[in-house]
Amino acid sequence: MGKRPTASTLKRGPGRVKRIVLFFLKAIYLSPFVVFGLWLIGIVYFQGYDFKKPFSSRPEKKEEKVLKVFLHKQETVPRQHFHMVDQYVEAPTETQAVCVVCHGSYAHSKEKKTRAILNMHEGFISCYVCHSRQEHGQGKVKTTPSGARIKFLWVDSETGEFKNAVKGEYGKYPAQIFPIEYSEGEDGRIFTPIKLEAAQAFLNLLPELTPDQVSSAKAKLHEPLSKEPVSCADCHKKDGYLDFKSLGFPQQRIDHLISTEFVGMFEKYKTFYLPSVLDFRGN
Amino acid sequence: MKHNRRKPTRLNTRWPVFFNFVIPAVVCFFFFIGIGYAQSDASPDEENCLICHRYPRMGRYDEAGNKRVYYINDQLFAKSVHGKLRCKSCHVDLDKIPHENVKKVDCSIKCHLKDPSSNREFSHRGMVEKYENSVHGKGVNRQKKFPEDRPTCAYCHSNRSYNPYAGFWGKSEALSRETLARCQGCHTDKAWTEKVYAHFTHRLRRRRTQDEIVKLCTSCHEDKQKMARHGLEAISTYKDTFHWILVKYGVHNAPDCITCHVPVGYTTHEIRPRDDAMSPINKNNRIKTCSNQGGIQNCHPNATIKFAEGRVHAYGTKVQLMAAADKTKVSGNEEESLLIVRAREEITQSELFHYRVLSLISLFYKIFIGLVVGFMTMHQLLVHRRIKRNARKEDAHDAQ
Repeated sequence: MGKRPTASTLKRGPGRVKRIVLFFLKAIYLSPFVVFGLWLIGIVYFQGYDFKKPFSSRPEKKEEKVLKVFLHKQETVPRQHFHMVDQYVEAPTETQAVCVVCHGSYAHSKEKKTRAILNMHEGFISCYVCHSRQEHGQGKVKTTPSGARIKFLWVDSETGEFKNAVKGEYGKYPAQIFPIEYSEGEDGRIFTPIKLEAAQAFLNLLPELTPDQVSSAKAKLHEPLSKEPVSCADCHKKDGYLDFKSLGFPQQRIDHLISTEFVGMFEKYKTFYLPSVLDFRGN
Repeated sequence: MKHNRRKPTRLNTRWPVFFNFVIPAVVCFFFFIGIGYAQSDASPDEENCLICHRYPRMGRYDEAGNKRVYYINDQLFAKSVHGKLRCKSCHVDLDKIPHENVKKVDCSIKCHLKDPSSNREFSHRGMVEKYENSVHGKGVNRQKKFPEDRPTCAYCHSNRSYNPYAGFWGKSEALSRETLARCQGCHTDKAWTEKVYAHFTHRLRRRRTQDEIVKLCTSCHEDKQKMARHGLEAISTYKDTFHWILVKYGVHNAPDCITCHVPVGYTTHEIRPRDDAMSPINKNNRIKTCSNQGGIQNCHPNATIKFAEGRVHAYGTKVQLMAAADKTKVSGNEEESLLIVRAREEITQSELFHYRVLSLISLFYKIFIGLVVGFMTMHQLLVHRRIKRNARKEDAHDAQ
């Protein structure tokens, strides 16, 4: 005659496994009730408490203003922009310069006269084109510091495909112009003077760095960039830094791009007064 | 009688054809091309601003770190309510590049467009004057405190697009086209007729949903600090009402802020404080407001004086301050002091009594619910414990 299992015998063998499984089933069954109870206690007794607030929040460390600007105001178009803006303002792009990680999409801010105009170019020209000038030797051959040949091509914003020409006008292009490096025996790839990992590491470490460390880190990060970036006049002239024809611009547009009106306006005049003959107020 | 008619030669038989048909055809062609161009969607850019501003990335971060987008899509703009205006109609004194000391757009200036009703230059001046006199305005004769808190025209208004095919008939493009075709029977200038039809239907339609209205108003009125500066309590008191529940769940014609604060016969630009005799929420006007006489639907058609005297928003900070033990003392905090001063003026003794009763009921239920749920939980735990203990006893008994 077999002995009936007692509480002590249940603690061992297959009975124990069964008990653990039962315990978990009970826990799963009861957990919604516990959550509901906590929620009920919350709304009845703690009405003024914001449950969405994190339990512990570190006091915000003071960051440099220039970084605060775009790190905390992530590229949003102002609320209900009075002049309706379209999708081109914030056109998503798969491929973008590393510079955007820190400087945002409106990187130019110092020079009052040219900042908005220079920012205008960011929609269709990568920062690398102007800020990493790669002309070496007497013939000003465009090569990387390692000697790889450089060619400027359009890089499709969605697919990342290199193209000689794209359709579009007045800054509304489905691609951006990038410097493409061609090493011997290799396919072309985007020439990237600053590594993304370095920029991200800088941002991660930023709250911990002293002002001196920030300055030296920035200097190091920007070391591969040109001291003298490509200027307006370097491009907007005949046989300028960019070959507009090889980038597929029609001749009429090239004639306009290399005309001197705008470059002259910015380089010759401190302030350019619009002709008053264009002002029709009161007529 | 002999007519001295010249015999038609090959040449002069061709010239009449040329003069009568070819030249008029060519002239007509260019004329209609010209009209077509003039009526295109292009914006009137006489000042050539688009030479820079048509580029989407034209802009910068301002000194406060806000993104300033200077891009204009001329085709979208041309279809907007301000589409016939030139840039400098609003952005006056932009006479040099780079634009410096740019003045904020003043909506009260003349637009240099003829008002068809008066044949005079159109201006929003009348509307702006009304607004400045309203509770939201900066004040006309005496500047109110904290002018930076007060919403500007562009805070509430954007330059919306006209859509002539979303007119009277909901989203039925076909019916709108048919209506437009009837208009164009007499008004043959197609572009003009479309514009007038679009304007007319645009003004007749509700442009924001109830939820959007509440979001717009609460974007300021939920800001506790901003409200306290003006002696107001934050608008969370509205979100504790049945009215908000209806809006939240998208009930047709649910009452939003506008329904009560700007009922039929009032305008949003003339919202007045409730102690103003002309305010729709003044105690003397409330019955009319609650019944929404003349509105799309009469909300509470049989509203009585007692009904209209009832609170719409839930009790908020003011009554809490009044009910506090130290209500006689004015706090050192200026904002709180202002709230107390206003609370003393606005909160009646009956409301205070009502609030105290409600607070007691609330407290009673808090304790009662805690006791009931606590007792039930305790009861269940004790029962569970007893069952377990009995089971163990049975086991022990069986083992013996």
